[in-house]
Amino acid sequence: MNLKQFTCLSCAQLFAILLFIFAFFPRKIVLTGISQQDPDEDRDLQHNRPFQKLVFVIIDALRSDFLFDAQISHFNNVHQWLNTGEAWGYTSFANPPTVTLPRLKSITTGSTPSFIDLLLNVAQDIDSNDLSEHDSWLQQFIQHNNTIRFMGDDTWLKLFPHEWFDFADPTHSFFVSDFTQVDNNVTRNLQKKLFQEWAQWDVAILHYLGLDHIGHRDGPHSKFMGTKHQEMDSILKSIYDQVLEHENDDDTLICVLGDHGMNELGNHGGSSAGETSAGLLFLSPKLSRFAKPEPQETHILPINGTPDHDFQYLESVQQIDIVPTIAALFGMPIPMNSVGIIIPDFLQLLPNKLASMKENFMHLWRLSDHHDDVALDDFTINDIYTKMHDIQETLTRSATNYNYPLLAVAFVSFLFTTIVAVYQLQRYSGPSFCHLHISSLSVILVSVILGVSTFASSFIEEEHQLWWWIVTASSVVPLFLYPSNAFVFARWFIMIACVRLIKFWNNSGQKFIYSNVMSNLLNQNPFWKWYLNSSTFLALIIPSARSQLLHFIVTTILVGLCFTYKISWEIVNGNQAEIPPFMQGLLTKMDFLPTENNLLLLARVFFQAWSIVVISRLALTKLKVLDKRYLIEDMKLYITVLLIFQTSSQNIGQFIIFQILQSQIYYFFQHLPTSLSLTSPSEVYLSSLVSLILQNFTFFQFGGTNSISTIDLGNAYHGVSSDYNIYVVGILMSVANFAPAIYWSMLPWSINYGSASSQNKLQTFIMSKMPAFTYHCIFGACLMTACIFLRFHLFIWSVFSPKLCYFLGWNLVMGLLNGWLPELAILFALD
Amino acid sequence: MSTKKRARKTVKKTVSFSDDTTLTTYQNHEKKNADHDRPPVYVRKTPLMNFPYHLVMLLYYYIFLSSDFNTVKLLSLLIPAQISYLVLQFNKCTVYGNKIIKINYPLALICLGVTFLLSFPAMLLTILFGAPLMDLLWETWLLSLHFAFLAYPAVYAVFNCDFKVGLWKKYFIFIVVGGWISCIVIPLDWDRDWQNWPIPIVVGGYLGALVGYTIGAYI
Repeated sequence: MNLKQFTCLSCAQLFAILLFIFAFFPRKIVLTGISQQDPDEDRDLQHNRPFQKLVFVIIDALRSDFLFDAQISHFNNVHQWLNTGEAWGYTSFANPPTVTLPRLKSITTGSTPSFIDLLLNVAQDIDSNDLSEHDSWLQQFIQHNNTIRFMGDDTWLKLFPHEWFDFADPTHSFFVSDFTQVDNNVTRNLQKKLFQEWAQWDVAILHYLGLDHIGHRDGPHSKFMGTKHQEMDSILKSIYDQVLEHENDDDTLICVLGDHGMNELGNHGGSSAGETSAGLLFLSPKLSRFAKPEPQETHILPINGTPDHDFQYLESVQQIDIVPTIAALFGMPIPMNSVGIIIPDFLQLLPNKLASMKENFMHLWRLSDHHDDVALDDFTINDIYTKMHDIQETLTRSATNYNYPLLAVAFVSFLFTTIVAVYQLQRYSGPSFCHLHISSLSVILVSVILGVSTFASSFIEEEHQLWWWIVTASSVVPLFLYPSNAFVFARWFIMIACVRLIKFWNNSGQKFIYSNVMSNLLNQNPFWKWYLNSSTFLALIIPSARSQLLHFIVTTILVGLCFTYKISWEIVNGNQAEIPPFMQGLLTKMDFLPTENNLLLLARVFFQAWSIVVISRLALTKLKVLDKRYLIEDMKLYITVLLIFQTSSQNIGQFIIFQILQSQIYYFFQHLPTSLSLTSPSEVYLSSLVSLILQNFTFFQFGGTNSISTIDLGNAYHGVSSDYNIYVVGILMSVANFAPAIYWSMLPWSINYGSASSQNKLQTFIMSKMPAFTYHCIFGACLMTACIFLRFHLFIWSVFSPKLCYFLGWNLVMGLLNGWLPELAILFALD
Repeated sequence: MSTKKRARKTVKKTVSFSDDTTLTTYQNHEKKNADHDRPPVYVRKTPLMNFPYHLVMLLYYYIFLSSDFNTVKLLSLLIPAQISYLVLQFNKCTVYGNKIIKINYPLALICLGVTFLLSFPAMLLTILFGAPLMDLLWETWLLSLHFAFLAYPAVYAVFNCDFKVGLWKKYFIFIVVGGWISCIVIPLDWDRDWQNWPIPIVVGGYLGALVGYTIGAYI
């Protein structure tokens, strides 16, 4: 197979994956049009509406326990209101995917989100998010000539046209490292635009992001959380005071909610209890005149934990229930696609509760494809509610449909590439097709083990365990292959100790979360963390001294820039106390003042310096100015520096372990026993297989999982200002998340290209790509089969679909971008 | 691969603690006269005699009878059972220099101590192969004790037969492989009691030992 054929095969594979994903992620059928009522009835309802003004406060990632739990909540005013009955509190279930954009769609339209919304949340430029034509309670407010003012997360302006808002002050949502300014930008408008112009608006929407940002940075138990709660609490108090101040104006409703929760790491996107349980609070002086919801009668807030730690405080409702509730409370028809149910406690406020309930029921009844009328008069209120809940459940479950012909085309073409890949893999390795050689056999074995595992959702969630299982099995192989002497045994012991240490570094998966892992220990002892990190940096510089002087100087500069940036980043983000004083002294000696702007500048200097070094190194080697013997080693070093730059501080120490582990593996590869009589293709295959196993293993041990919620965004914004370019951020994000995998993908370089002549090098390149390519083909074929067969599985959107996205990521980033570009560039320079 | 390697090697002339000489000697045994420096050691191929009945019973007890998988109690049953297996079955199948040697009780006792001590390196290995590093240490040690005492007859045989580890290595390997394979049930989200650490690995180790002692003589 030559390069051209291999390129075609890779493109065909990628195309098949993209086609499959396009066909598999269904777009929901959305009813167009806007709900309308009979004009007389509408006027009547509007006249009698229980509330006139709505203040809709979204506090991003406000988990239920942040509002209600005595252990963690600092919302003291809220507790007081809940106890007096001025506020009614609920735990609301946020349908996964628990990320902001799909949640906002749900909260406003009342429909459940589809998985495609999750992807669009990341790629926000796509237009299909426009809700201006769709029905939502905002749309209904506009239809009824109410004025809406908005301040907060700019996601809202991606969903709704600017003209709908009488006043809008958007803030950026993706810049996660800042959590004070982003909220002050919202609060600064309160006085002027809401309080002073009280009569000039009907609906105010505030969306606070700071709490979510704290969660992403430090998790739910962060030291910043308490003050953030108090800040939010005092903002609510100031709004509520304004409501009370406007004398007989007790017809303002304040609705406070989190669009989703967060897990114990502070991330969200998945479907764990913490992520789906968001707090919900209705606040109005009017509410105290009606009966409190039942749990509030029996509990005194704040509550001291729930029995099962399942975040279910007070009454549990669906988050989409907000939509018909607001519609009913403001005398508007229920938005077209809403599958919500009016929260029962609010029935007592409605002027005609039976009519409202009947409307709600008929709405759901028609949505579930019934066209006949039902006589509801015979049913009690409870009966109707049970019926409505039944309908709601079916509607939220079956909100999807698939494009079967396209799925079939994609699947068959992927199967075709798989067969070609297996055939090619086999052809290289042995004398004949049927003669299975041990190297290609083990590639296929690993692929099949992983492939079969995709049929069980827990194996997808806990994929890191499978890789560890394979790592342990493959790490005993040297013991059987090499003569058993003390030297080999010592090497082997160092190797397995390194592997175990990497396994110890981070939690992965959903099932086992240990608190005693290296990253936690390092975060608790930040001085040790920075000593380890600085030794990692030193370990990069020292070996470069054996090469050319120029290389040594260049490496020192790059590493120095990287180290300075990493320290300054911590200082700017308020962790000054964590950095050992002498390292801070270094900064002052360099006359570098760590501020937000200087940080931006420093990161850009680093990226520019890095690109200049890499490009000139390649060019000078090509022009034969520099010795090409060291090219591979030097390039690996430069890339490692870049990877460290994109790694969080608690993971940097892993790279020193990587270096040690790598030297052991090189030893074993250089001293392959002659009795094995490996042909050169099998050696290439073996090194690629080891690289593949370690790529996946370390990817998970860096804290990666197969859930969208662990995508690391914290390192995607180095050197990126607020008006960011989505592609730059995308590339930085990929490098940050695949950093360990990129490191280990460089493992076979020195093994493969050490001796081969230039003609053979291209052939070796193709051969070294074959194992990973075949693995992805076999694994992908199994995954696609699993997705098709299990498409009605409960976890299809929370487990299988994210895995499909990760699979695309691995193929696109690791297979194509990282697999081809650097290696081909080096081969070109070596020629 | 390993058998191929062995076949190519020439017979070593030195006395060593390692492995391969015994097998080669045994393979060549019928042609040559017995070498008195290195007498042949092997396990007799008598399936009914070799079969570790007690392991089946212990497993049955552990899985179906014991309440909440009492690993400590299982260990207290395992140790006497292994001793009697050694005395009554295993030792009677071990051939050393063309004859079955009588059980050496003091050595068996010493080996008990050695096996106990072996549990510490076994624990180190278990941790290196993925047991929790800082949590559940007591459970991990229990597991290692089980592993060590499962290997007890083989340990005795190693001491009794001049440290010919090569022949007995497979018994250790079977136990480890059994434990390794059984790990696969841990990630499953069935939330059963028996998925708790170290229960599946204990069962896996027993199954590995069961297979090992049954077919060990034929490999």
